Amino acid sequence: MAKSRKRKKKNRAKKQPHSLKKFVFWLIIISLFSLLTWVGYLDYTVQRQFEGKRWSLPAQVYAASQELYAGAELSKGVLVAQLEQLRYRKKASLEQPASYRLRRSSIDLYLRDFQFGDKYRTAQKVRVSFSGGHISSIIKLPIGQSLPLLRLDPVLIGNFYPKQREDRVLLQLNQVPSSLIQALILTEDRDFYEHSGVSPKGIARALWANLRSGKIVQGGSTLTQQLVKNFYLSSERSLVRKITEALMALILEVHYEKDEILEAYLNEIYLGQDGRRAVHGFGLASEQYFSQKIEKLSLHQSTLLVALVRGPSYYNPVKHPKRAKDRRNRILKLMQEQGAISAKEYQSAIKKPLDITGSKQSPDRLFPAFMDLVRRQLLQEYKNEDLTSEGLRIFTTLDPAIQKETERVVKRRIPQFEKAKKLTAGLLQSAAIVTRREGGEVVAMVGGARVKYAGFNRALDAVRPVGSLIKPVVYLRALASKKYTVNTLIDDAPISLKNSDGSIWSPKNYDKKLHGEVPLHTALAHSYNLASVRLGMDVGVDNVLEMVKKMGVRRPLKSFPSALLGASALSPFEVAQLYQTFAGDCFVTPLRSIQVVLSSQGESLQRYPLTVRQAADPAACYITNTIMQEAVSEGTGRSAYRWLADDMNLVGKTGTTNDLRDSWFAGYTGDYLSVVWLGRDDNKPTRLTGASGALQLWSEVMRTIGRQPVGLIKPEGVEYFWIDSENGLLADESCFGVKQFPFIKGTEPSQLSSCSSPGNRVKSWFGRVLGDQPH
Amino acid sequence: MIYRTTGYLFLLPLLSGCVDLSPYQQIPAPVEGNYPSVYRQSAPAGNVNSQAAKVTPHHEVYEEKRATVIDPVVLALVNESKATEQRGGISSAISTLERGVRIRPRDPLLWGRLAKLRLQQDKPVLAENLARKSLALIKSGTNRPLQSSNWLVIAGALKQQGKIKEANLASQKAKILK
Repeated sequence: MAKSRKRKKKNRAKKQPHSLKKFVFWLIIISLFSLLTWVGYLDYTVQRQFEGKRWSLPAQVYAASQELYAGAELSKGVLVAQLEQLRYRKKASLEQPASYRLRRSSIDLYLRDFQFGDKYRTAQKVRVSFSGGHISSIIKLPIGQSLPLLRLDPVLIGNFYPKQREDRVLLQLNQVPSSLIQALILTEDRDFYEHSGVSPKGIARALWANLRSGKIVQGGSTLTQQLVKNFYLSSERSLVRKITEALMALILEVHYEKDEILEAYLNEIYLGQDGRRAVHGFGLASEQYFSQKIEKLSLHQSTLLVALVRGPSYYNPVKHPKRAKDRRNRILKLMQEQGAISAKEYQSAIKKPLDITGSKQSPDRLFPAFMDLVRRQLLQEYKNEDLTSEGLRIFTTLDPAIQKETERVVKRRIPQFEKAKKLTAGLLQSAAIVTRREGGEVVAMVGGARVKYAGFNRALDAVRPVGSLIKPVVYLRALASKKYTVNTLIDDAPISLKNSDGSIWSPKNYDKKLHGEVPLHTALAHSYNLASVRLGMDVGVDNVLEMVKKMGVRRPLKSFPSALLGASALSPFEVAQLYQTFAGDCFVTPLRSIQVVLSSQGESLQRYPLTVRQAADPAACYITNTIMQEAVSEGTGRSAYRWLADDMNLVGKTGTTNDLRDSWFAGYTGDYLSVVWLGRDDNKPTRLTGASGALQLWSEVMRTIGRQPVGLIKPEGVEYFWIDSENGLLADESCFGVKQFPFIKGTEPSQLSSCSSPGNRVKSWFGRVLGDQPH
Repeated sequence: MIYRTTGYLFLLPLLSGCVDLSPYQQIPAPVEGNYPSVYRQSAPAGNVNSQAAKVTPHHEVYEEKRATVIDPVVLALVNESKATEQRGGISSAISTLERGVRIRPRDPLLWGRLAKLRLQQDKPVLAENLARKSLALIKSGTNRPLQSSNWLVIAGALKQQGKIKEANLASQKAKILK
């Protein structure tokens, strides 16, 4: 037993060197295999990413362009503000595009090249002259030829990003000024065209240069390594990563030409931050810092961009102008020393200021409710992936000035209402939509009291009872039937109706009074519930709801009597669609937030054209609109005229729901339509009526943006007649107290009134309206 | 009104040369009726047929201005649209007119031109509605050439939809207005 143990020990001792060798052998084999697999994997990774689509380009979303023409209401100051927003630079002379020069009563503009939704405009110089808050003329410079119309490039209002908020403008190598490439190669990788991805010489030179100057003036990584680091790897600092980087750089150089690598580098490198957007590549950096296409950059400008490569935030020219300028000048010096530029060029360039565009851009990029609408409309045609990677250029209908004004009013008024009505702060919510009166383009949208908060978009998703906003449809349908005229008497007396569940519904007037027999127009203008329900029941609830549908509202509404008083719920957007139809003479134009979508190459992918569809009899529509004018001038919307001029002929309607839970106003001027809703997310009372709440906001917005009075055009089927107020019969214009009313031809009264004189007035329905009859 | 019209007379030669603006070349028709936006009360007794009663309401003056004078912006865009159309870019021509609608939303000529182009694109339903919209923006009794041209578009659109009887009626209306 003891012997055998000894033998085993001996054997083991003999075997040990042999197994170690074997172990080492296998270790080497496995290591080599792993290394090769790893290199193979790296090779695959390098090629796959470089061959395919290298970058996800976020969609660019633009506002509508500001149109300039003689007569346009636009002051010099407002134009300057818009130019600043578009990053145009104020200059003493117009040398580069995207600059302007102020004169006493005019502005000289050097407009930049721009691919609009419908055509490409090359850079051009113009002079815009002003007189009394208007544009008086636009001429082409230097010839002086008059231009009837001109548009500014639109403001970028946002992007649809993939996960990383990287943005870039892709470049081809031949677009980049040679001075920029020379500066880059001199500072970052002098042996770029010689090395094979890694440069020991470069590392040694950088080390020496840095030691000599006491600062980091050169880097040891080649451009290829920098590209690999940015393009393929994380920002982690470790030896393994450094080795991976070097290996990948070598692999990249094996597979691709130097120019291809350089071009990728120019597009990849991170060059700064614009709010939450990361600026990548020299193409976007050029636009970001100088408002210029890269081809147009001067020596001092392209050198500054190269200066940023080393540390975009450390050398940020906005925050650290001196630091940035010193680095720029050091690079210029290096260029001169190496013979890339002459001494004269050097002297001239170092004297130049940084020359950058101001940095105020991000605040205008935050219109969450509107961007939400754009995204939803786009997602009907595109996959989310397309929106965030294809570099689509989306031209929307937003008017930034109107959007900001609407936001301002909502922000100002909501806390005031909360205070006045003793509501807990933060509970009152709001939504507002502004559209162009014709064409259905949405120019502004606010989705909540916190206007910049990208949460629940009430303009689209708060589906709330609309109250009296539905009434004009009841009246339109009644007038279209020709059974009723503007003056037909309707009994505003108690009414009880059976709901489908057998319960009895007995509506009341808002003022709890009974108004007796009232002319149709008065019943709508004063929003009498009982008269409206009686009228609606005669016309038929289904007929009214069918009209709502015809007028562009897609949401199916349940047919029950209380629908006649707006128990049916709609979103503010749907209400805007309904009133857009009234504003457009009862032609439906679907609301739009997008004009056109272009590919990154500028090809038109999708147009959202103007469409119309006649929804109702134009004569009945016209008369309903005139009654809604009365609703504002004499009825529930009167207070609008505290804000707006008497001659605006406003058309609109208030809406208030039970227990003052929702406060609505929908209406239009000659140029814009707006719908405002106020309410609470918990659906509790707001203590506001349509008139005391939403109308106040509406009026304040419209006072600023509404320029044109409403011009209703009388259709052929309508005639005006003088009517005796005493009896509703035809009268002579010369009679006392007669009024003109529009009638659908053939529905006017046939009997003539024996013209009454002021002295012998009899008690009539008109007198009762004025209060002679007890309620 | 005379002042306003003569102010644009200098544009007439330009128009006859390059644009078919026949709808605007007629002499403005007299202002018809005197209907107010909100029901207007008659003048006090004794003031029968006074001038005040004949005054055109403000909003009508505004529309009248739109309908009878030649708006340089509309002119420029209609011209541009025609040039684009001749080069075969019908959808660009439409975009140009839509740009016009954005600036001059209630100008019936722009809507009428859109109707014509949509008919050319074989979109008869849209063409008919656009032409009807253009008609709705013309004050009755004015701008007969444009009315006529709109009825022609409607006739063509109805024909394309197989509604021959209605198309004939529309053609007749177009002829009468010519």
